[in-house]
Amino acid sequence: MTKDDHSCDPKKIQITVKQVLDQVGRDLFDKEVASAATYSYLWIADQMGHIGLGLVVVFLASWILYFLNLPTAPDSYWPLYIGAAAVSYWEFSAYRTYAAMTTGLFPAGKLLLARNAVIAAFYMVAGVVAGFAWQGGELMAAVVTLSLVPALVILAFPWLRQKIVWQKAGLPFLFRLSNASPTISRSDARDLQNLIEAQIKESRRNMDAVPGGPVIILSGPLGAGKTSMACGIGTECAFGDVKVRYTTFEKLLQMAPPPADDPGPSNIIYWPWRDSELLIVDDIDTETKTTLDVDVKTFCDLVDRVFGNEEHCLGRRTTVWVLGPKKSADLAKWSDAIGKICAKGQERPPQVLAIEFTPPPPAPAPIKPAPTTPVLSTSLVGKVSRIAGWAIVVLSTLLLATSLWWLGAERGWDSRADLSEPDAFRYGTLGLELAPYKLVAVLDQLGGDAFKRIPPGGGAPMNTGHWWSDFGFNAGGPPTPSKKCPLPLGFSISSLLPQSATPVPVDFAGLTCAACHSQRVHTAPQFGGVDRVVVGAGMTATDVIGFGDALKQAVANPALTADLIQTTYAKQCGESEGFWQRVIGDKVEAIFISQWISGFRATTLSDSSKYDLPFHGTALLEAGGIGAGPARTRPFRSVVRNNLDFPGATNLAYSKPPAIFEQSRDLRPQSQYDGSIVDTVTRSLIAAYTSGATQAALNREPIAHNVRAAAHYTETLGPRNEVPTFAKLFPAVSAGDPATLAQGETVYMAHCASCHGHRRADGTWDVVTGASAIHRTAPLSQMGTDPARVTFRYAEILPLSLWLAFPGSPEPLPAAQRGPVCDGKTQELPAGYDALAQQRTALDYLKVFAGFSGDNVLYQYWAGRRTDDFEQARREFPAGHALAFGPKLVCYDTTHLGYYNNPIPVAYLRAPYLHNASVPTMRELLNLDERPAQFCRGNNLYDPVTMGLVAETPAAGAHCGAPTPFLFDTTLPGNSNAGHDYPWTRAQVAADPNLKADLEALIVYLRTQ
Amino acid sequence: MTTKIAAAAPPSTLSQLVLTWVPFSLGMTFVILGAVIAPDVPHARTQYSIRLALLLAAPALFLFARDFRRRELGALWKSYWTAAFAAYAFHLWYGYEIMFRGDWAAVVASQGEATALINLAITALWAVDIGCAWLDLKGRIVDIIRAVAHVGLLAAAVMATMLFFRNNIAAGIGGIVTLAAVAGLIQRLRTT
Repeated sequence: MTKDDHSCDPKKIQITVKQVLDQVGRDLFDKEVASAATYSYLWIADQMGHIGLGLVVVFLASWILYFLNLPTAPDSYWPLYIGAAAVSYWEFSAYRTYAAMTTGLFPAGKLLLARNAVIAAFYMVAGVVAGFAWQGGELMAAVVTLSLVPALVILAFPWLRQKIVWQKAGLPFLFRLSNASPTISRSDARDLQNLIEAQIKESRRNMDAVPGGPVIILSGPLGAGKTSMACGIGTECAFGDVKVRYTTFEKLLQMAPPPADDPGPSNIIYWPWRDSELLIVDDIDTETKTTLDVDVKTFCDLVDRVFGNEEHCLGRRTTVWVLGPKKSADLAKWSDAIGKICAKGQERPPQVLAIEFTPPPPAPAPIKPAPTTPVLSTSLVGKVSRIAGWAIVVLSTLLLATSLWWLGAERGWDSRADLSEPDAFRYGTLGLELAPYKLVAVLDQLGGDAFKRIPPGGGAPMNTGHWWSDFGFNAGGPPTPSKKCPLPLGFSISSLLPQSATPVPVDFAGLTCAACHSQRVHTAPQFGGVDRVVVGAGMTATDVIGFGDALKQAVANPALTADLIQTTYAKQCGESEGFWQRVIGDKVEAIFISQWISGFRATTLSDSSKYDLPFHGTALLEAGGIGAGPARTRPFRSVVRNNLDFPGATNLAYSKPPAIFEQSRDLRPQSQYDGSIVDTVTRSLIAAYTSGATQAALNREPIAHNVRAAAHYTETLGPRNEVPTFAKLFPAVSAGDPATLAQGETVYMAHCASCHGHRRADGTWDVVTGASAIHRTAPLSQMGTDPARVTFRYAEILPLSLWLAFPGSPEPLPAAQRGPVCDGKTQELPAGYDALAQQRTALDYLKVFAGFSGDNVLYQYWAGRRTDDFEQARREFPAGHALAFGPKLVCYDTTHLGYYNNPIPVAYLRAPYLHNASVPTMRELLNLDERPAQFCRGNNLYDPVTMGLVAETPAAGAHCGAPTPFLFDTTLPGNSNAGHDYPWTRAQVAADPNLKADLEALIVYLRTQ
Repeated sequence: MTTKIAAAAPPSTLSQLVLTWVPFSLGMTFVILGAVIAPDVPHARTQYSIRLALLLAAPALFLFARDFRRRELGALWKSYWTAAFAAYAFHLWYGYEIMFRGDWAAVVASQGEATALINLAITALWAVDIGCAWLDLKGRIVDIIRAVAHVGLLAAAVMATMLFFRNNIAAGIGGIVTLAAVAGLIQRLRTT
């Protein structure tokens, strides 16, 4: 028992890197069911969790951005920024919460809390960075991850060391003094804080631990927070790098004889109490009035007896003694006794701080139960309400998640906006989706009587094997890698809803440019049995309007259901592939198909009150029915309906879809038979709009792209690329001897080239040489052809009305723009030109025009409904419609009614001739042969000699039969085959054999054009 | 005279979720999926989302008018104000990216420079205010931002209502927003 005995002097903490690594190794290797939990392990797991959270956050952010169609990883750093901000905010919130939990008795210790929050945030941000890098390819992932690892390891070392220091103290739990309940006086708290700070400061200042130290005595009743305070003292000191050891009094007595000690769990190994700088002795006096209880005399005797010569060791360090509740006088005795014990063998007596705890505040009184019945019912209602409430929350969250998924998935369902020009023309959607793909694919089974093509005179219906060939469509439809039942050429398969063109997870079939602008050329065997589809030529057999009416009739069949369509399709074309497609996809598809059927039927019914009932069966092939017959449309009936919303039933402007070869503006400055549209894109736009595409659909980028691409395709399409020349298509037909060709050329140049130009030897078209009348409107009186195409009701208001359907950009033109317009002149739009203002002016003009003409109803139409429609469209397309066109690109000149003179490239593929297809062959057009008053139309063979269709004339009183079931009667309104008596009239030709020879030569020459 | 700031009794997590998250989620579901059957889906989504934003903002405006600088605006206000902003953010994003095709010049040309800038300023203030609310920042500047954001939104809603008065739904929603703010003010005056 001497002060010179240093065997139990405190020792400074020394933890090597190896020891830290060993601890990490043990922690990672240990099984939590077989070993004690350690704080170092907890910290490692915590940081792994932080990294994991960062990964989750950055992937979530990336996915949300992707779903929202916003730039995302790896192209955009936004997921990184969002992820880093989110996890930083998370840690900041945690810091604030913990910082706010201080009771005010002790300093808050915010610095350590802040450092902890920063390091946690750093690990989470590391997860965010790694997660971001992992989305950017293997190299980036490897480089970033490997760069992060050293930083993470280096930063971990001081924290792991701190955890090891703490856990080796053997404290029962971690407690920060700032969270201590106010059960001691503030002055005691202040004194205690000073002692702790002094202890930490001294420990840090000295290279070696300094023996001796104050004595702290904590006394109070159970629950007052003595052990928490003791742990708090231990925690603060351990965090200050002081070697702390916690034990109970009983255990301390057991560890008194050297070298006895309790090392604790093998994966921790407590500091030996003899080495500690701070010794905490808990549970000295329980005050339980039992045999465990000791009084001050017994305590001193026990310490003396048990420690004997080692008693001085207690005073070699700062000590904390935890006692039960004492009266003030008793506490003084205890303090004196412990002070004396700790003074033994020391140079001077230690400072003693005795802290008396006040009893904890009483627990709140239990709430008295309310009367039985109400309690039960209230409790039941409360439970049910809570369950219902959570159910609603979960359900609404699922709905929101589904909605967001849908929003993102729409991009996948959307049509491509990068189809090549030929593909856009052939297969690209124009917003003309008609019906579910599955229905169109099995119309042979489900079309019923509506799709039977029965000739008006009776007899066998057309039966080519497919509904689509019965209606004149041709094979060669859109690529259908996953679809087992192909569609014909002229159809698109898209996942766009009819009308709105909204992407949905269901395929719909629609019409494309090729529906009307492709032609099957097939000849009799003597001409080589040619059978080829030429894209770009006008259709000669397809009955597009008939197909539309037949579809309306078929869908109106009450037996047609989504289930029937799906079942029939599965039988004919195969079951759906993939588990999810069968379990969910088909159900969703059934919902959409059912809705489409309901909507289609409702629209058909509501339209019929204004547009009349659709035709069906034989009426599709009668002049008294639709009237157009195969290969003709009633475009202005459609445009009057779609744009003006008037019935249009009296519109008899029957037209054949023209060949659309070589439509570049230099060759063809104005399109359409009457030259009413200047620009090819605007022409294609109006063709799609007239056919039923809505403004909203045409504003969607994939569709707008297809319109533009298809229009551009027509500018170069011709014999110089993919269109076969006459000689190539009909090698069995003589090309004519040079003398005949020369004679034909002479006739052509003398009588045709002025209006149509001619093809040069190099294959290009010449619109200059001798073309004095080209690109001009030939007046009706001069042409003598059927006038219905240019004289129908509302023709004069349609151009402006069409212009108003597509609001222009609200941005004034930044610079002046020059361009041709439809009156053959060049228009200059000045800088600052305001398209919307001009369109409003046009509306005013239309009102004034109606007012001046005394048409009060028309005035109301423009002033009310169309003004509202325009303003609504302006709101729907606030940046301007994607295909909005300039003023005067569509026009109608009442002073020059007639047909526009344009080149006629690939003349042989333009049969039947004239805009209304009323003349079957070139020989008849040139008046070499008599033009037939009646002839049968349908799937006619091609005759290369007459350069036209083989169109039989039925015997008097007879009917046309399959495969040409439609009787074309040129005496009916809109069907006149008169006019265009060039070079000579039929009477002149009949009277002069020389003219006949010239015309024979001309036909041979025309084969080369 | 000092203003006594008393904390509002916080609603339970469940009731807060039912009152704010559920209408937001259901509303957004309608905005996204309900619009699929509309003739012009982008326009419908833009229109529906601003209506949802205003409907969610109405309770927040009520609470603001009643409690601002009287007592803590509370968790319910924060939830409504945030949910309304989320719907408004969707409206802005969809309107700008889809309707205006990401063309700021078109926005300015369509709305007028002043309107576009005011809308942008209100949006920025609203976003900053929500940031302050979630970070629990307080102070005079925060109060000013909060007041300007609320009054700005209310003014914008009233202006839009007048502009689209012929549209019954727009007028109705504008009326609800205005009434909510007025009701909050009346309650504030009654408890003075």
